[in-house]
Amino acid sequence: MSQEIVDTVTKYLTPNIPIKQISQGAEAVVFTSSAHPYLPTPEHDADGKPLQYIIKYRPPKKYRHPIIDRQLTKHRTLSEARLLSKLFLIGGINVPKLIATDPYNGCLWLEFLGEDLPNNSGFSNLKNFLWANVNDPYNDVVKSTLIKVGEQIGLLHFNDFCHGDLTSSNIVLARDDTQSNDWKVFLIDFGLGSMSKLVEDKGVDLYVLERAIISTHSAFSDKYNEWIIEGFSNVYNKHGKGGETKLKEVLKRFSDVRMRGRKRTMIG
Amino acid sequence: MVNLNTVPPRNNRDYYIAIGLEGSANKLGVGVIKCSRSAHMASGDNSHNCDVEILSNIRNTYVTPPGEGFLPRDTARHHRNWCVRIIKQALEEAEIKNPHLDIDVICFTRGPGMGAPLHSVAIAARTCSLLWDVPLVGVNHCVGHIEMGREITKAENPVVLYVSGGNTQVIAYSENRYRIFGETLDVAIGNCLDRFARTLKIPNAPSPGYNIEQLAKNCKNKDSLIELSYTVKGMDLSMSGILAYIDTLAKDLFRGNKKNRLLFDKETGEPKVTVEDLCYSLQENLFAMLVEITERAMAHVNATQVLIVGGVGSNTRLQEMMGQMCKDRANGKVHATDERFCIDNGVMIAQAGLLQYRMGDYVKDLSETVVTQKFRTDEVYVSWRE
Amino acid sequence: MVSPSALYTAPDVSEKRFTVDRSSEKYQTTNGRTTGPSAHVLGAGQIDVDRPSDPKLLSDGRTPTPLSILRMELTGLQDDINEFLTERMELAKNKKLKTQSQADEQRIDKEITKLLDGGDDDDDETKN
Repeated sequence: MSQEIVDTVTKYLTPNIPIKQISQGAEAVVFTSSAHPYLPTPEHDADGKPLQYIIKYRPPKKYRHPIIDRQLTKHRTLSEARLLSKLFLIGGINVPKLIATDPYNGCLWLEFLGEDLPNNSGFSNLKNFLWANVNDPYNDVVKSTLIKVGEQIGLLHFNDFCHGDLTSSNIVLARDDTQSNDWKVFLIDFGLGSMSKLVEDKGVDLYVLERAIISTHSAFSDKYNEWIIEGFSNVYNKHGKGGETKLKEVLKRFSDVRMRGRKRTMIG
Repeated sequence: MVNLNTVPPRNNRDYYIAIGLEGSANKLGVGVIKCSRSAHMASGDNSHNCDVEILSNIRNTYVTPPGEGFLPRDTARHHRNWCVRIIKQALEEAEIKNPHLDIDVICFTRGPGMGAPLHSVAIAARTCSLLWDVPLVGVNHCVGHIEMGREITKAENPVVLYVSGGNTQVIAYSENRYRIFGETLDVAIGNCLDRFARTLKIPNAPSPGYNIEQLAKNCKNKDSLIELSYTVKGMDLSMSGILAYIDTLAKDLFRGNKKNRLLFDKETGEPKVTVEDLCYSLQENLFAMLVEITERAMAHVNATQVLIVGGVGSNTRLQEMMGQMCKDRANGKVHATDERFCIDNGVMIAQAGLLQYRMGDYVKDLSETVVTQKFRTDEVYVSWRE
Repeated sequence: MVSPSALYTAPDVSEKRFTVDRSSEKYQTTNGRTTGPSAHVLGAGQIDVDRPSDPKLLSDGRTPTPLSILRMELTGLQDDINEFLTERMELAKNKKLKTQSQADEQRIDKEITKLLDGGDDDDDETKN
């Protein structure tokens, strides 16, 4: 990442806030910090270790026109904050806790989630987790995790929210508790998310994820996508006839969107 | 390990000569390339570094009057009637005296594209193959763009943004396929620009996109923008809504519909917006979306290089925006080619076809040369890369 | 020199052979009746810069070269074939029209356009 971005964000946050960069996504740079934006003393976890927070910063994008840039930064930061606070209140949906937001400067403070996977496999997002399991791609933990991924998306859609950018990097896994092997699945990165009752939006959401899985985890994608849809369907099927009807509609549109993708002519 | 020297050059030469025939849309292109059979190609992953020498690169474009698109049957007629002339010219410039002895392989576009034009060029390729007794290779048009771009820029493993009249895709290589990470959910970027140009009767020569680019450059009021929706969906994007909206504006502007308050002053009826303003806003908005999905794919696959290919890829504003995006990423670098290679041409078909031929994959029976209008980039097994 | 010929077979027709009649004028031109630009683009003001070149003549300035003779004969042959196929499509269309519903008519229309225009169902290039 260019030093310029680090300089801008340091200037904005003031040097009193220690930051450590952990990733540069397409639209945001993610830092960790031990400083809380408004609590006077740092918080500690059960073991007495200081808690870390996530600072998600959307730097100005010089490639796009300043008007477009300002609008997008504000819109996405604000809508991500709104969605996170709404989703946090819905039982069963796992999203990071929102701590603070500054839409005009493109800044969000969030709860820190996840850990480093063993054997240098990287941070515990779904992508790295699946790659770390490449030698035993269909094991029980993979299966139960992917079903849980499907359930999270199912809950999201059932409550009429759409993510807008589902990929295996935007799904984070955190330990349920330190003892078990099981993962708790969190959806992150709601910058392109929206509230939507439209079947079309939900179909596109599922299609985007399916394609991301196919292109990133090609060899095992059939099974993986099947498990995700299994989890997705579980949620709807818990809601009786009405749920089943809705599920059918979404899955039907999902396959229509997929067909549109395949049938589209491609003229050189 | 990839051995690109599987098939020796014909006639005991120490180099290969390939001719490529392209005619999937309104451009007819014939190109001849020469490629030495050096020892380092026998192992390793060198398909982006073949020391290709371009002996000729001839192109003829079917141009329609302003406001008109190109009909398949007229485009096919153009290709039929120019094909022999262009092939002869390409051979002459490449100083190929005896194709039977001097050419290793004839490469032609098997798809995707418009059916009738593809057919007429495929027939020419088959005829040459029988006439000269030279083997054929059918090439995926998109893979042709990618391989030519890699060879020219030496980009080893870039994320590819493929933008043309019929395609808008973000592609990355993985496990012997060029996989599509993002693409348009409806119309292609070039098609979007072409249709907008038609409404405004912007000339089709040399190309509608080029003329829009020039008009946008001349926009006097670059501080303000006409607000258009910004429809990025993950790594995909949608453009039909934007096109429908700006097309309505363009129609109102063209016909002088004074009721449109966005375009005309309420009091005086004077236009507030020019054609240049529309072109500028449209480009800024669409290209920002393209750069964003490219950056998303780069972040997703941890890539540092971008290669822009396809006709729209020769737009300097798009290249500039992509360059700016890469500057803000660690080791980011953008690769682009100029209009000789960005716009459809025969050389790129020769390049991709020769790689395939050198791996021993060529047509064994003429029934394999049937063209296909729908031929996705990820259908091709890329044997020439690790 | 042998003239080119063509053979058409289909389940519902006995073999149809196309041959060149050298005395007929239609085999003595490189400008076919059915291979010109479409009426649509001509109507839109297209200037035809893509027409086939005239036959080349031998040094005597009158006799066409053998290759030019072949081109002219093929042009005439192509016209014959195009006319035959167009007629067959019309026939098929009429036959179906009488017996089947309107939905079929549209389908056949589409198929014919497809045959002529290379079959891009959602061919934005042409219809907009």
